[in-house]
Amino acid sequence: MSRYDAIPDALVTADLGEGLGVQPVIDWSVSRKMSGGGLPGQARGASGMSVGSGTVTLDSPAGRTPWTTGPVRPGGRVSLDARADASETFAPVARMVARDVSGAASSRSLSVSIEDDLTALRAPAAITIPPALVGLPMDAAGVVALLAAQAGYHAVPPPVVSAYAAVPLVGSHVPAVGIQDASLFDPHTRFIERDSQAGLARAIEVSGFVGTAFNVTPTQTPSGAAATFATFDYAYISPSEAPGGYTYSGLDVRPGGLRVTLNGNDTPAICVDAQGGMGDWVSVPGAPSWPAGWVRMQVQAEWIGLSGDTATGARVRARIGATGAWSAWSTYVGSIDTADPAYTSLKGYLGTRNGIRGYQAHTDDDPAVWASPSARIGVSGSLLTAVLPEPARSGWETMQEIARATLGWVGIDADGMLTCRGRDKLRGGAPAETIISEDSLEDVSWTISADDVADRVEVTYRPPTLLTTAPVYPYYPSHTVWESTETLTLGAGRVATVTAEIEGSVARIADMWLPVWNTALPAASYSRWNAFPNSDGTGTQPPDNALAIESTLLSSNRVHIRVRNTTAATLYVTQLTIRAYTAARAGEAVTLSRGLPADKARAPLAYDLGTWVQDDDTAREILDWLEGSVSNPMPTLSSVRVIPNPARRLGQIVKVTDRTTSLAAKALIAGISMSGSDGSLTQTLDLTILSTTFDDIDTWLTREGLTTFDLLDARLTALGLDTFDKLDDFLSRLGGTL
Amino acid sequence: MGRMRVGPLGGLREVESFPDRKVTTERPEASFVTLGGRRVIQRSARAARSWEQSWRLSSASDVAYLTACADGSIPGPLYLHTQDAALTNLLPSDVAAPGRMGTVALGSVAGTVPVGMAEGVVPMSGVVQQASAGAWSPIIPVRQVSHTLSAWASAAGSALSWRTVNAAGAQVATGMLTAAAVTGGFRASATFTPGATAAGVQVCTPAGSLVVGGLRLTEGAHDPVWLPGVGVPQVVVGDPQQTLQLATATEVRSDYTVTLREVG
Repeated sequence: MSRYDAIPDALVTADLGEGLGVQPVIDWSVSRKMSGGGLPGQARGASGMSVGSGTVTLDSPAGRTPWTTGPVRPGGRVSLDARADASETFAPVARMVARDVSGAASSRSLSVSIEDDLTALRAPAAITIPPALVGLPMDAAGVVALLAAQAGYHAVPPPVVSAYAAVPLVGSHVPAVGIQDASLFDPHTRFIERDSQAGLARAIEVSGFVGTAFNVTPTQTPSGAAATFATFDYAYISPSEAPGGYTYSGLDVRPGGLRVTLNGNDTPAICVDAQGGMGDWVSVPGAPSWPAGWVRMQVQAEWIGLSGDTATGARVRARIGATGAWSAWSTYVGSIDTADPAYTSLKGYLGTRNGIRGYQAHTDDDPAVWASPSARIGVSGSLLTAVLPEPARSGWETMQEIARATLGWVGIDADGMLTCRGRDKLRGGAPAETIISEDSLEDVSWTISADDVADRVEVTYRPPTLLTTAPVYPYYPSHTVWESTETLTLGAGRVATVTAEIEGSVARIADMWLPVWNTALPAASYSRWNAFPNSDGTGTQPPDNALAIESTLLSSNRVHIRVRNTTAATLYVTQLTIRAYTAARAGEAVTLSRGLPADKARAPLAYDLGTWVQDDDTAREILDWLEGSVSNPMPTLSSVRVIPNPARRLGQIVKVTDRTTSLAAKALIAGISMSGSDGSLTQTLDLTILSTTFDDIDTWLTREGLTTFDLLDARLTALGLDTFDKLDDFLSRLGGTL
Repeated sequence: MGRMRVGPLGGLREVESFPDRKVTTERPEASFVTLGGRRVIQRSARAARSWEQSWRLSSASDVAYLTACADGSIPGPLYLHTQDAALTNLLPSDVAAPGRMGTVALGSVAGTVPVGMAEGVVPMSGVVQQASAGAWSPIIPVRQVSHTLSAWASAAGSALSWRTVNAAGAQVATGMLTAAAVTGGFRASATFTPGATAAGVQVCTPAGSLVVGGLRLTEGAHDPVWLPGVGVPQVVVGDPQQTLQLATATEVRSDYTVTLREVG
């Protein structure tokens, strides 16, 4: 009808034991709130995690109960969409599961409590990121992406059955299919964010030809005659973001050196590259000009005239989207040795104009490569040189630790997507809307507390210590990563299994087990055992083959050990020691501080970043922000009733203005509560006032075309900003252009 | 409001009534006021009505039928067919003005169509015909007397399909309203008398691309103007509230009050 005369409506689809179906809803409520553990008010409301929950009251005309035909069952999916007015489209509010269902004999209404589905995320985390990938620019969000994928939340389509190589490139270089060879990497790549989704692009601040995106040895080699495809997301990076440089990108589609080259222009064209032999450029139909986000492209590549291992040429074509029209073929004619051993791995190189993510090479034209993402993983801003997860943590717990340490946010969004946002995106960026209090808010209720103030801020982080075995023969694995603490009693011929939780992470353990008295090899090398015939550690030394031990690396920090007593007598195993070729563990804690000295501070704030922040720059950035938040705290606005808009999302930036209190600031939506019934839809917001961030300044510089210090200097002079006070005042509001 | 008829589909029975019946309407709504003094009102797309009828010094036989309706002796669902609706518009309001407040009784794609009212031709909400015929509306219980069905459309052509059905919902007769140009718009009208076995009427949009709105169904003829739908709603008959006034050896007289509440 109108903004002020609205017909709100809600649509509930629920499975209460009889399959998914639209249910008549009587009333509902859903709330989500960010909660950054251990932080004061303003900082707490702008980070951490959230678990959405709510209730739905449904009408059950059939009077269903747990003991009627079609019994009521909890655990089913519940989706809730709402709209503020009949003239609008429905927006998702919840994609949750039914936790409890209750009813009564005297009423046919069912009360269903719902919450985000974290079941799969609560399984133990199995992070398999070898420290051998050290040196690659791994973002902490890459760990979130890997854990999310394990739980079925995919930021990029998961590898299809016929995939012989796949690299998601969502915050990490860890391949989903194939073996990543890190030895050829150069430092010319960085993780970027588009549409709140992370991907890889060439680093602009590093000179060089192109950035290596991946170098993967496929799990299998497609037969010569097989059709091969490579499907990936690409992003266009404008010259203002990455001036100059080599713009062309090349991605291998199949072993043998058959590659597609992207021109990196605003409208992409492709060209075949067969071991350096190029064909014609062809444009890709339907490719958007200057795409703001990720665009999914598929490339088909084939050999021509293949006889044995020799082809007379090669060709590629491309399309955008599952139903997009194929481009013309780009064809190269020339003799090619398709079995050339120089081209066994698949490589990807990025020019300055393209980002890439979700790459997979496959043989079947499988529609699953176009699957919609179920996770939205941004960039955390914390670069890791080794992943050191705490042992015995679930995926969800690990994600929370990452979000907490990096001051980001992780949770299930209203649309059911697992969402991870970095601190930069939670602190700045373009506001999604402007909320004017006179027009939209019932009141502006704010809180500020003495508890939010600190006179000294400390952050502690732990950079990793990398333990590698010298690559000089003989390679003795000598890094002790785990030792048993209890004696194992093994009867004759009996078998015992032990799960070893390793502190830190390992890439490769010594799976050859020797008794401690074996001195043919250095005593401090290889995995070792010790055993006695008597429980007090006495008796005749058993033979060298008394124990048969197998050890399996389950994940980077968990080893499964199977011990079998091969003798005819009971043995008491007093020692099991695992040694590794390559390992990483948390190093000494580094503490940075700001504010008053420790002996004079009356309200200190100590924040432990653990091993999820490993570099000084990130730790200092977090320290800066925390100090800014607690030395000059801003209030939080809580439970502010607003004209409802179900499309608002947790983590969105909005601009709030209130003439009554002279408020004009950007704010983060740190909490959303909604409830509805027939003829009523209520939305209340928790808002955290934000100050200007580097991201805002970056956006302003880009918008103003200030790409050099000289240009910036000239602009600041033109603005009359000749003192630091004036500059500070200007930057706090960016001249009113926030 | 005059006469009223209550009963199941195909079994409407006239109940003695008087013209001072009170009809109340309830529409759930919520409101709040912003800091700037702007009032925001949210409303339900549907309103539910209640009819209250009183009888003085009546006998038990006078309210026996309503009592039977109230206690479930007469199986439901029960409908209330009023003379008010018969002369105004027998169609429910979301069929009479399809697309009203986002309702989807005749289709989910809403549009706007010029409709003649006493005040002149006004743009009203309507439904856009689709490539295939839409679903039939809920059954509107009718009497077996002459009826007039009319509708407005965005252009000349097939505007509205109608059919009569028996109590089991099986089709008895069918027809099509074809819109022709009138002053300010395009209007279609047809007159029909439901057959001996017909108990109700349904309408739907035929395949096409017109926007159709301003539907009106009345007993007898009606002027080429649209009136909002009153409908023949499903009702729940409340138990008669009784005040004993006179009790003799041969008769008992009481005051009765019965409330009928619209449901669905």
